[in-house]
Amino acid sequence: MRASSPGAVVSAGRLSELQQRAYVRSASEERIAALLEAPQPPDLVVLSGSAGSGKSHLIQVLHERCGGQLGQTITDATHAESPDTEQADRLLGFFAPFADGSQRPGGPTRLIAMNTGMVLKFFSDAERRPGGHPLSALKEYLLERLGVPGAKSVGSRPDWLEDAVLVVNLDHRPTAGSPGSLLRPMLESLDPAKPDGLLRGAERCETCLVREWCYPRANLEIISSPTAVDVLDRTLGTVALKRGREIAPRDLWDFLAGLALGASARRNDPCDEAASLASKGGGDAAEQLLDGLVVARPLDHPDGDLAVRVARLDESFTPSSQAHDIIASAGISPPEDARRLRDWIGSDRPGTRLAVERLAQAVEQGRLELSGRYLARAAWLGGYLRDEDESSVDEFRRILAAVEREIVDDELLEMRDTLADGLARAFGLSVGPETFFPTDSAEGETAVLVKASLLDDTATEMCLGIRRDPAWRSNGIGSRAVSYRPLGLHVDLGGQAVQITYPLWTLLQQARNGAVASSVDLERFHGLRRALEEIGRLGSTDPSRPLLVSDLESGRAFRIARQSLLGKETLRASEVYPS
Amino acid sequence: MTKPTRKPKIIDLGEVRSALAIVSKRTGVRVDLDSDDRLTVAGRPVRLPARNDPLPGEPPWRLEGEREELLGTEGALPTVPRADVREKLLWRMLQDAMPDNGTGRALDAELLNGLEGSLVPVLRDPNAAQIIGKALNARFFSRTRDARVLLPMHTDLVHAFRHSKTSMGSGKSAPAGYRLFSGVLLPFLLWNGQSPDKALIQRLFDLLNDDSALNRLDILFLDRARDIGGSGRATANADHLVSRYRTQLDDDFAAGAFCQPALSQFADDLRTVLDSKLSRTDAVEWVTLLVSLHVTVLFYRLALVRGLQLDHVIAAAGDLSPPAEQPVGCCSAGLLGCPLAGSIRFRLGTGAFQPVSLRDPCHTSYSELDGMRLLALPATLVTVNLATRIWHALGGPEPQQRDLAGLAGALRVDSDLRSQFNAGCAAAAVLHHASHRPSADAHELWDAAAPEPGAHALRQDVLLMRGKDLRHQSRDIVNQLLAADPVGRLLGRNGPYTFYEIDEAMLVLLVRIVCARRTLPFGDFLLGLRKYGLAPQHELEKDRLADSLERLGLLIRYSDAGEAAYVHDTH
Repeated sequence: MRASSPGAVVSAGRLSELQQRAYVRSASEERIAALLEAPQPPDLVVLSGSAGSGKSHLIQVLHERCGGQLGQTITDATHAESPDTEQADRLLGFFAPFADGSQRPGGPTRLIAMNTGMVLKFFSDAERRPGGHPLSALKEYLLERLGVPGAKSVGSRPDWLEDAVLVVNLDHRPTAGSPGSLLRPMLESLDPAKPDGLLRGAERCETCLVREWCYPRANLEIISSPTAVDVLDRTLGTVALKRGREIAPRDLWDFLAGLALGASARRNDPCDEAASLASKGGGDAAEQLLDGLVVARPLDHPDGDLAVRVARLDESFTPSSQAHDIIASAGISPPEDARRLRDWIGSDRPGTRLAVERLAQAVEQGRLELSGRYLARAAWLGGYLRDEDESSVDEFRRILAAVEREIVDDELLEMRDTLADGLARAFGLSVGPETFFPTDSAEGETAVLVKASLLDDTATEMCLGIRRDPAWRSNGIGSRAVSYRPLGLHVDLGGQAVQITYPLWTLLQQARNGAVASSVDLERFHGLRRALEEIGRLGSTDPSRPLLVSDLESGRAFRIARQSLLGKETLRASEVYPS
Repeated sequence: MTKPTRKPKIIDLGEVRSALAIVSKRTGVRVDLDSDDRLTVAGRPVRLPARNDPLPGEPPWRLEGEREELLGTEGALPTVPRADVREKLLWRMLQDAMPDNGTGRALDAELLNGLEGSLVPVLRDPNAAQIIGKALNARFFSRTRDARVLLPMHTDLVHAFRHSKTSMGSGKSAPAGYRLFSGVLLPFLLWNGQSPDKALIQRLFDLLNDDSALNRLDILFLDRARDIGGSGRATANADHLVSRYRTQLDDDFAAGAFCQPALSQFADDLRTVLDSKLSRTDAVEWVTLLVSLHVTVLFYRLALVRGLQLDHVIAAAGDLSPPAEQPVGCCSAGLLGCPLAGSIRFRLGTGAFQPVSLRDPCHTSYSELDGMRLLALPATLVTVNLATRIWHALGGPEPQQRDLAGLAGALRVDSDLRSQFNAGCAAAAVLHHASHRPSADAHELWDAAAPEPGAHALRQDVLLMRGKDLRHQSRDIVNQLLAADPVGRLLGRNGPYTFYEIDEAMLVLLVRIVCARRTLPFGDFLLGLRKYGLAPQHELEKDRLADSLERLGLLIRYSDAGEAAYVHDTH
């Protein structure tokens, strides 16, 4: 399960038994297979995506499902960032039918797995190889479909490329936080008792005498429970939303392995670990058992980028009254702590989560102290701690969906208001209904701002525009095949395209509600700041627009407007009080 | 009015001749002063930097001071500068581009102090005049703490005003001196191999000549400034600037530029900045920062390349194994092939305190580059100049060609040349020492020439004699350009330790000029940084750079894999 283990890398056609068991089917395979089985299938399918996104596995599945339709297949172009000479020759031969000036090749569909970096590197190198086929049209087409900026080809692009080449970017496959996500069946397959699960019913455990000391088994039982599956799926979906990219399946497996085994057990056989604890017994062993439990070390000392991100979202750290109550009351009544531990991550099913029961008994008898943080995490995994971000995340997702459906509803209009208000408050000043934005990037005690309305300015280039996600626009069929979902809002501001990710959205929401963004937060605003500077620049050269001069030191501000009186132009300065 | 008579510099040439006799005896090569007191090596006269208008008793050569002729800056630097406020760079360019030299008589301090009062009649509200006057002064004057100077936001300002300094005690203002580069810097940096790029110079001037990108308050400021300065409209003209310096430039570049690729890069970068949509204040700030960056990098490049070349010459003169670093011939490999590429190992500034370790590459590379090379730059230039003049006397090419690779090669294969060259350099060390210590006797002068080989003795004496003021023509300038201002920095300081650290403004500028409106893979962006000598201090810093760029919205990741990360400018 670990990303660093040899088994994490899949070779199509040579799947190990464990890899076959770990494989989670998704709707993407059905959709891609349907495209291959269509009356007019594509001539070339390029499966792209970063390492561990499931390209090799998908190729194997597609061969099993529709091998008759498939022609030459290259699966090992994925395992390097740049091709060696032999491989480059092979790739050149593979792509030769799609060279510039060729007719549509037809024939069985060629299939190739290439990570995005390999696409870039190969095509850049191919242009420089003597005697190589010119592939500029294909290169441009592929980069466009992948959403990667690339040099425009010299000649025109043949129309048949649109139908002949399908690009599927597996990095765009939603893996967590949406209906039908890959994570849910992955988590469910971790249930040790599940006969068709990853542990095949864990036959080895049937005769084990030390199961009550086995925290890995208890962890697997906890995180594969329906409640924890909901919690983790939602949390990892939020992680994807916050970073603006989906999570690769390999990274998900790695994260789950860390949750189940903890960092300390990476080098040891979990069974040996349990036997060792059992033979040791006593308070120390109980403490070590608790240390290995999912609520303790795996989240206290997160292993890997994904685990760190999840640990940051840990609801036990969220300033909520619920979490506070749990943490504040921990340790006052050991029996109560034990009861809560059993309620939240214990089990009624006999013979399951025995380690939790052993720990509860130790707490009950006063032999072990349970920290409030661990209890709060147990409540979180048990679904008893409300996700503070949930409504905001859901709202952002609804907005993204509405943009994709191109439905202008109240929520979308409200979102635009929020963005405009948040931007005005974060970067500019509001005086009554008027908003003013800086005319340059200088930061100091004083500022010169110009009036602009992001919602209904007379100059359209200064208005806040919303646009469809570029992946949908550039690769509709490929995006549909992987059930692509946008993870950010794409807006036009001052003639510039800017992406608003979830963290920016929340910052703007907070700014709208009067919170002052920190300098660290403002750094994230850089792209927006630049776009607003452009608005300020555009506005400031229009002499009819009122200006605002603000002095931070005295807190005073003056609005300056041009007025015409008796045929003469004059400036009128009046003191105003920005909100 | 008669010119005041200066005190003649009397050197005891008898002692000099005695020391040269010892050199001749030790080396077996005759070195002497001829009847005109000119240095001869093996009977051949050496063309040393000449003394202008020598007084009776003074030798015809002059080996002290900060003159271009002594430092041999042709094609490498337009003048020998001293440190000054960087905001004055652009000011002087505009000033030199005006037919009447922008000889305004009003002091900028008068404008700074008088603006608020001049606004009252216009705004009819003293409170508004106070706040707006403060805002306009903040906009039009530099933010440097200890020297507030009027910024070259419009040609008219340059035409009407002079920079001033105000006495802390009396509060009186007086015209301030200027010691950095003159206006020649712009056509020098925009030399395209045959001539300065006049069209690009004019593009920059046009930006500052007109009122189109100004807001109402800027125009109000300019109107008040014209009233206070009592000067009319003015225009900066590229033709005027170029013709003013054309002869000097033609002479300087007669043997080619020290690094034409670096000059071409400046032209590209200036075009990129001028193409950007910027407010007037931002445009002035970015152009100033761009010039500061290029001048700084030019200083580092010159110090490193010339230093390495001189190392090879000295090793060849001593018939010693060549230094580990490869000899540097010319820029045929482009900026990426220059030894400076990647030598400035930087870290990212966060705006907050970050400790620095003496082992951090951002500090060690500063010590190596700044301490070992940049500080020695004036001494290196003087030594190179004198060494190439001696070689020329012995049959080598014109000294302006600075063919140090050729010199090292010739010294390696020709033992006679080696002897004569070392004797000549030892003799030059005697003359150089005498120039700085006119009262030195023959023994002291010989001591200066004693270290072997002679080329080494010459460099040592130049370093020793100029030791106290080396920084004036090297480190001080770089510090003033990229360390003194609150924004736009390459150098950071924690207590006594200096290191390379770039702040957000510098990072944004680098993204703009490296990307030049393109979207570049992160790896290509790093390669682009190397052209300016820059590289993240280690792998972790590289990741921090990518993260910072991503936070700033200047980097897009198309996947988790690093190769699919792209840097782009938001302008």
